[in-house]
Amino acid sequence: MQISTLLENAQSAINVAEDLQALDQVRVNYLGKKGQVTLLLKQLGDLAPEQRAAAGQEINQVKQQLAELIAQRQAQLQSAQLAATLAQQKIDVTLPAFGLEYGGWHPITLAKQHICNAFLQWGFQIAEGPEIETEYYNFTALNTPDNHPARAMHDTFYFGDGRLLRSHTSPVQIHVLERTAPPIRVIAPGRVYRCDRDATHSPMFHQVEGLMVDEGVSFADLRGLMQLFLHYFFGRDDIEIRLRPSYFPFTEPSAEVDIRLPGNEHWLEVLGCGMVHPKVLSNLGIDAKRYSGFAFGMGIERLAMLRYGVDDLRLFYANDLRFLREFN
Amino acid sequence: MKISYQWLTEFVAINQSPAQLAELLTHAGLEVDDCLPVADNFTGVVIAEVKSVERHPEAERLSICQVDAGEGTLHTVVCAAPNVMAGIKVPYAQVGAILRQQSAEPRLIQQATLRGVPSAGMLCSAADLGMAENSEGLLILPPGALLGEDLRAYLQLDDTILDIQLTPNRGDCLSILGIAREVGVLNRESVRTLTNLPNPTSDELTVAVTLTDTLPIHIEADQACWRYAGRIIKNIDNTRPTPIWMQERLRRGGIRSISLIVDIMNYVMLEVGQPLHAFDLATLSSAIHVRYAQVGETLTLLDSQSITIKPDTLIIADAKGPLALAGIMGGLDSAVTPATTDIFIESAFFHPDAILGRARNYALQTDAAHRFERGVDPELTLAALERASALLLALGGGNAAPVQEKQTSYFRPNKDPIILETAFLAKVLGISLPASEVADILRRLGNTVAETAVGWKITAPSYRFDMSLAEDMIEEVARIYGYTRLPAQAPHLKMTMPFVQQQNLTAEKFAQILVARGYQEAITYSFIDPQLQNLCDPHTAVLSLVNPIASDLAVMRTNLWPGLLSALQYNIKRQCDRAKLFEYGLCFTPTEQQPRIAGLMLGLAYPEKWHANAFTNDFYTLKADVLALLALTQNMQQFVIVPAQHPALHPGQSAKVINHQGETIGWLGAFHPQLLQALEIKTTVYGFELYLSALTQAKLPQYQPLSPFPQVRRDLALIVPEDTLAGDMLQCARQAAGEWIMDINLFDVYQGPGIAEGYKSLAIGLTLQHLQRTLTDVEIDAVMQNVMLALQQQFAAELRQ
Repeated sequence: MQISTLLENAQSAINVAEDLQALDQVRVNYLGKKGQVTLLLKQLGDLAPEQRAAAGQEINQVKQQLAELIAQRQAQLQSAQLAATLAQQKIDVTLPAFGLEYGGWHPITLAKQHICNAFLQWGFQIAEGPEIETEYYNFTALNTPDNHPARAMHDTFYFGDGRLLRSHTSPVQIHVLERTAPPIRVIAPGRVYRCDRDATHSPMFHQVEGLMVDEGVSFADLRGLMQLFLHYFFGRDDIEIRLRPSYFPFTEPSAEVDIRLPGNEHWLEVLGCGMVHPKVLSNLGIDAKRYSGFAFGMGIERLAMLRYGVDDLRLFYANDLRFLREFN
Repeated sequence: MKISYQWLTEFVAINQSPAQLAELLTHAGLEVDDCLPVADNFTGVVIAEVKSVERHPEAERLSICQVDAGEGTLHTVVCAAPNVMAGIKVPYAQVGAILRQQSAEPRLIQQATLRGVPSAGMLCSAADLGMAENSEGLLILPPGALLGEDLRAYLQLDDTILDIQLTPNRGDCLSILGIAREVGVLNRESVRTLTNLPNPTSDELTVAVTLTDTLPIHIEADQACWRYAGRIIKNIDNTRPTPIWMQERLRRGGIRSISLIVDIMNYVMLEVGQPLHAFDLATLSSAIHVRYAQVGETLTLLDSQSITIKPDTLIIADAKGPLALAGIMGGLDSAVTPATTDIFIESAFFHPDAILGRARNYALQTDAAHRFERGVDPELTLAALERASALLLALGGGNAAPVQEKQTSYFRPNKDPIILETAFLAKVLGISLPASEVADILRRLGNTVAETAVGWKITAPSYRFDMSLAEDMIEEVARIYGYTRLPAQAPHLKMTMPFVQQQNLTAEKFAQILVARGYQEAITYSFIDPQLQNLCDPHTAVLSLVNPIASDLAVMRTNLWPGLLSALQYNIKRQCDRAKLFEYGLCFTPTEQQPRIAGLMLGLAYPEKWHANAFTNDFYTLKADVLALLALTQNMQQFVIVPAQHPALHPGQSAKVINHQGETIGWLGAFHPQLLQALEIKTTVYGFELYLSALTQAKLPQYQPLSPFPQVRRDLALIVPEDTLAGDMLQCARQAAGEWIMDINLFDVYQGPGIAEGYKSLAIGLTLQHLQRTLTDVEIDAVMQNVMLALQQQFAAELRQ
């Protein structure tokens, strides 16, 4: 047989091989130990010496050519086979997901985290205090002695043994001042309680208290920080902010902070603040001549309502899952 | 404090509209809550006289009135008011008048026919005109009112009430005079003074002393009552109606008109801020005593309530006993009546410390106590008495006796001077204000100011009770200078060592795990229903509120389940059939406040699914969540979960978590069917609770070398009595396996055909590995033999054939 015929036959055999097994058979037929090309090589010895070199070269070329063709075909078939397997493994990716779902935080907690994150970045630390307090921490140490009219403004829950449910987070200021020397920068989020329930009051609600005490802390610092915070909280710096004189027994000067969101007509009261009253500091053994500080307190519910557009305070405590999931 | 804008303008010139004034005051710290009209914005209402009244032939409750509005002709008006009668003057809404009741549509008064009788217009009550919440009948005007005069003009109804939310430090602003002073400071206007009060009457307001009667005054509590003044006035006609202008001013100040004498007392209080009291002289015996009550003394108050007076309460008494709670409320027996002709007027200075909290002790809230608690100007006593006397003589007739006054050694209207240093002012505010401006502000506020080398020496006026420190003065300067004009700056911070460490475990870290595992955070009240509390945790002592807001919010929670179960119940009622809820917060016993975290789960683990693997949440999914939380400690080996009984949990499906010190640090299980039944929950609910005070620190991880040698896994299929605890077996196997054990894993539990009744089959996989070499088969077999032997001895375990 002509070597060219052999090559043609082999080429067509490679091309018609439909799978890897058939292709391998073709390889064995031509290039195997007993394959046709192998046989031709073995028969080279029968040729005249002067023909051997040329014939050998020709056969080896064919051998190499076939090996390449087989390799090409093999790659072709492998890729077709993979494509077939992949096609077979196709799934409907639009079917619903299966597995643990993500849960979610209560919107009050979300707002609280958002508030705390701002102050944490400014080097404030989280402080905590008990929710059942004594009159001393809730009032007296905050320059609100017995029978002070400001006590009546807080409708406080009592236990009848001198203890009460804290009516604000301000007592945490006292705990912090008792155990920490200036410089102090803390915020204290938490539950507070007042004996009042209607559409706009809940007997339990949340506040975040802040306290900064250091040398040279001024009212201008307080104003600056409150501005920074409110811009951060609402994620925009086009909010109008105003401080208005107010009164808290434990700060002086005191201020209420109102904000007006762009496009709104009304000012909304969002927090109270002031310079820590010198009596509060000196009662706790802090040199009020050397150190000064400011404190602020804000209602988380009010801020959360503004931030998330919640229009009914009572939603926060119904724990309706449909409501809670809106914040996931 | 409700302030009539119109009245205020008599005390100080005001260039602002009521709304602008409200803004001004709010920015000065006197927060104006609301600006309210004194009447509806009606038109076409005039003064008319009812000439005659006939019963309507068709309707018993209707009257046919002939009404004269001063035009010479009479109008026929049908009227339903019970107090209509001939001769009275009333507001008459003519045909064409427009009434606007606050939220309602404007109402045009037209010619109408009522049960066959034509009616031209309407006679009005105070409520019809927005001058009262509700009225019993027509608003009756004084006989002297001019027929046909527009009612708005006659009553000066184009006025605004400023409702000011005064802070407790500003007792000096509880009067027209006080607010006027504040406006004067802000607007740089001069203000009327006690010697220069406006005259609202047509008479000259002077007091001619024509009697010599006296009533001796004895102050026996000289620290509490610095000053007590009084005067006898006789022959007053207390049946005279209070002038309509005074009634209107009282109404605008939120005070009900009672009788001429009482109205004048209240008028002077609204005007200048001094609470006054008038005693019926005929009921008093020889002298007035100001003293603290003796134990057991009783008094019937003006509101007819009888009280036993506490010894901490200052009283006014005569020889017979208590007459009044000083500075709070008078007694019924000595009160003036319409028949009263002779009175003793009291004007006193009671120190705030003697009044604070006393009214509240008797559940009283009075205008007098409100003012005395916050401080009444001690320099006001005589002026107010004189003012009330003059008004009484002018409006009620009568003859006045001389003023008697007692002062005690404590009487000290002048305040101690305050030194305000320029540097301190600048330090607190963060800005240096011009010295001249500071001094100007301080003077405008009524202070006496002297410049010193370092700043100012300031004496506050007698009416300010909130001025004793330099800081008080700084606040005043800042307030009047304007908070909006003060600078703002970002604070400079010194860095400090944070006290939060890497291993600190906060409640939020635990909560984060639960959120990632599909739980939704709930926030429930810390006070709960005592019944539910008792169902969930009957053996723990509870803390009860003295003044709960509702009987079902009366005790402090001792664990978090009642709140979560109530929230679940709420959702189940709204067609929720699967939920995972959690909460973290404090729980309370009489002696402790413990932070805890708890969760509960209901229904399918995944939403209703096309997928074959959907399954229902059960104890073991719950347990996985608990373990995930405990894993935060990075020290899981210290915990064991053992069977245990809890009143809220199913006795066969409950366990507690114990730490290495043997303390219980949490519970988990299915809720008790009886508890669920009480909550009308019909599906099984699983729940857990962990005590976070036992989980505050994670272990700092320490690197352990990794073995490069192969692991070997060997399995054991064992048959044991069915009540054998798997946890005990795994622990036993782990110990018996020795130091090469890397992991131990229970992968099958079987009961049924092939296993004898009363037994179960457990399959355990052990993974072994050596740190320094490959384990040999001989070594591994020896380990497995040890394990098998131990399990045989402890649990009578046998290999499953």
